Amino acid sequence: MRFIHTADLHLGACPDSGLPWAAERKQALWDAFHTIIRAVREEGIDLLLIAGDFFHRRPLLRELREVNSLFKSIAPAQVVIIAGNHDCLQPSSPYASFPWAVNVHFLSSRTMDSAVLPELNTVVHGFSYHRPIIRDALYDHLSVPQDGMYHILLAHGGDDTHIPIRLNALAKAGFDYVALGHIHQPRLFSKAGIAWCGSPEPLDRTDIGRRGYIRGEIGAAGCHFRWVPCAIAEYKPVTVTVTPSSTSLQIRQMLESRLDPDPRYLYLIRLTGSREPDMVFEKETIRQAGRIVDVIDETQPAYDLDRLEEEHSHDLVARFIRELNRPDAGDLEKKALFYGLQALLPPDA
Amino acid sequence: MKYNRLHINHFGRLQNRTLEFEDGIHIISGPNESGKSTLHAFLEVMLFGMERVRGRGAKNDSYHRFFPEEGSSTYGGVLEFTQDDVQYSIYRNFQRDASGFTLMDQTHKRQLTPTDEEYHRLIAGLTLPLYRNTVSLRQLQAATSAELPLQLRNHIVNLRSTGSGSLDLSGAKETLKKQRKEKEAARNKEAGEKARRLQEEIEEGRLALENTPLPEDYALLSGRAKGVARKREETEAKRERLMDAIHEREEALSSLPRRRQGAQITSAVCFAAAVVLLAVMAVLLVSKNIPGAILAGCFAAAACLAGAAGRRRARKLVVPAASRKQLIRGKQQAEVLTEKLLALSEEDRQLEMTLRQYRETVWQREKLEEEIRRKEDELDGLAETLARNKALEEDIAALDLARDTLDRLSSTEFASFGSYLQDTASTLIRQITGGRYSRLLIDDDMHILLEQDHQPVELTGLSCSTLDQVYLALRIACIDFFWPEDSIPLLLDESFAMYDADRIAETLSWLAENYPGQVFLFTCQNREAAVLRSAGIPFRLIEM
Repeated sequence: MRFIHTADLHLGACPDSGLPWAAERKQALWDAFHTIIRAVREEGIDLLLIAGDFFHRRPLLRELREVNSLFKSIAPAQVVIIAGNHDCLQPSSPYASFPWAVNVHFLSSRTMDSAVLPELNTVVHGFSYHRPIIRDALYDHLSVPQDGMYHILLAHGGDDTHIPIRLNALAKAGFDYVALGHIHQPRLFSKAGIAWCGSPEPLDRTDIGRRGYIRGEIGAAGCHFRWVPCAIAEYKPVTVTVTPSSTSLQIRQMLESRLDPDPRYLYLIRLTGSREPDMVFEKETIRQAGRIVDVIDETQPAYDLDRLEEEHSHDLVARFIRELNRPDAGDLEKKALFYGLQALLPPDA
Repeated sequence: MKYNRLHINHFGRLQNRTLEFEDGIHIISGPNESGKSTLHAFLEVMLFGMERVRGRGAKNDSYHRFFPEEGSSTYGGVLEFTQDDVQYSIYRNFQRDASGFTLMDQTHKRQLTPTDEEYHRLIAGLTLPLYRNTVSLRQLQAATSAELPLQLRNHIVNLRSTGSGSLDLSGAKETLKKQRKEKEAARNKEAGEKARRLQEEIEEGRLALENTPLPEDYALLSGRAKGVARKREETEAKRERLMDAIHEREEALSSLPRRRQGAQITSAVCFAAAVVLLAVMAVLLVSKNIPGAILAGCFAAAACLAGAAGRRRARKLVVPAASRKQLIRGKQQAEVLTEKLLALSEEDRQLEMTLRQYRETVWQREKLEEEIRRKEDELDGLAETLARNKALEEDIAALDLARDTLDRLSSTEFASFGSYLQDTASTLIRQITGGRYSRLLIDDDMHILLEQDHQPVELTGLSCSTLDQVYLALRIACIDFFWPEDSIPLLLDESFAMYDADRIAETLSWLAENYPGQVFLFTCQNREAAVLRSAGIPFRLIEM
């Protein structure tokens, strides 16, 4: 029995909204779904598992019709879906009452349910989120009957507010495979037969690294699976260490030579180091170096606070520094300190 | 800090001059243009270096003012002083700009290359503005005594706001205010408003969704509709069949009715004729017309027989009459079916309406969902702007905090400085004036008052020499504030020009007794030396 395990497709989301390539990114999420459907069709897959967050929000009727017709097109392959925290089932949502094609099994119950697929000698267990937050460890005490069928758990979660998951407990439950969703980064536990497949396409700038789905097979020899990359885009963090002589233009030029211009790469630039106190780095200038999603300025103004305090021991500056540079000072105080020093000690004075 | 000795190579009009200094009072005397101001300036540039102005003002800067006509290659000299029990020599050659600076630690016989910070410490923490505001006293440059109080006030305001002198507090606050304005302007206020509105509209949309519930399960509804349609079809077919049957019978019967009627009429006429003939017979019997009666009786019997034959014929037609009953029953059944059909089609209509309503609701709900989705997407699109707004708001909060902190510190700084100044200067003024004035009062607005016999006296009512004494007292109080542990050389430039002899004696003897550091009194008169001599106060006279 060959299967593909995916999750967190977040259809309908708009990554990088407001940026020039936003429409492209929105489409890429649908493209990822089409890629998976094609893979099911072309590789003779028997079972498609979708472990929650299929949609970014409650789906529209037309979206359901669209995915349903695609599912219909891959019959006799079977599809099992659960709803995750993002597309959790609300009673009035068309998601809850949609007339799916016969090969689609939507485990819409809020308690453990199963789809029995006799032709595949397989039972897929799972349930759907009916609210966005579930703190109970609902997957901790499961066990599977020894009935000669393959048992798969389709589950969504893995953090404190979305069904905490204990791998040990899951490994002992006796499933042939546990198909997890919610964590966007792929995590595979081959020996235990448990995996988060990750999202097939990165959702936002925090989704660093490559994305794809899992292809596997369950048979007499047990369950074997591997991760298959498929994402179009990839977010890459780049840290730039600036010096007091750095300017926005210099940073841009440096990045232009350093960044791979392939449009599939989207960069998140982080500026660190120390800058000239009155230097303000122009995000828009730096952004021109490529497909830059954001520029995060974490630089510190190049003040030698100890020296300043010593030098100005007779005047307000030292007291100002002492007042705002206390050990318990937060970001606000730090910022206020630098603004104040900049105003008190203008660079040309 | 103590000046020990200085040597001028070439500086302005002065060249190759060596001056030696002791503790206590020095009178540097000479007529105008003899080089007193030059010496004054020399001391300053030896400590702080030569400021050079570029561009238009260059002609009037110190460098050009004191540029020696001869010996420009040795433009500069040496200043020797003691600080913290170590003897230092500063060598400067201004010709070669800043590179002509050498510092020697004479006690340990070594050359020093101090950082700015180390040098600053080495000259007792003096800075140029502080030096000019306290140590190096020039006479108040006022044309009239009316302006003096104002000058004095400005002086304290300046001292107060700068502390060590190089800070521009109000400028700093202005900068912070301007930055705040810029950040405020950069903030996209509409975005926040829009996000709030979108959020509200999304909530409203969700509420509208809740208020537009699907009437019932669609499958159930359409199942029912299908049932009704089937039943209607069946009924329709049944009725159709019935109507066909009725029609057929009616066709079959339509040829019978006339013959049957004829037979009935014939038998009825025969019976009627028989009755009439019997009546005639009866009348004839009464009238004893026996043959007529027999004849009538015969005819009556014949009519009866004919009637009976007609009746028999008519009875032969009873079968079609039963079929007519069936026909009536069939028609009644057909009527029931028609009614049933009517009811079914009504139900069908109702269901169709409900279904249409249902589809309408589904469509409305989908529209609402689309609208919510559009707004959610729009809200997502605002995220970046909102994040930028948040960062700007944090900046604004930081700018406010910086300004508040500056305000708080400068007011407490001044509160301590001001009250210290007031207390110390009060003591000084009492001592200097021999108790004529008991107190010096400085209010929050930097107005200065003197107290005489428990009465406040405005400065405008005082003589120039008294004002000078107040000025001196304030400056010494400042020196005391900034260097409580150190003794700093005090330079007084023509400071006693306005004083009468008694006032000079009063002030100088107080200085000799109370000022811990050296005193350098620059004067073009001999009065000060004479006063000191007659008062028996030791001093060193340096003639320029």
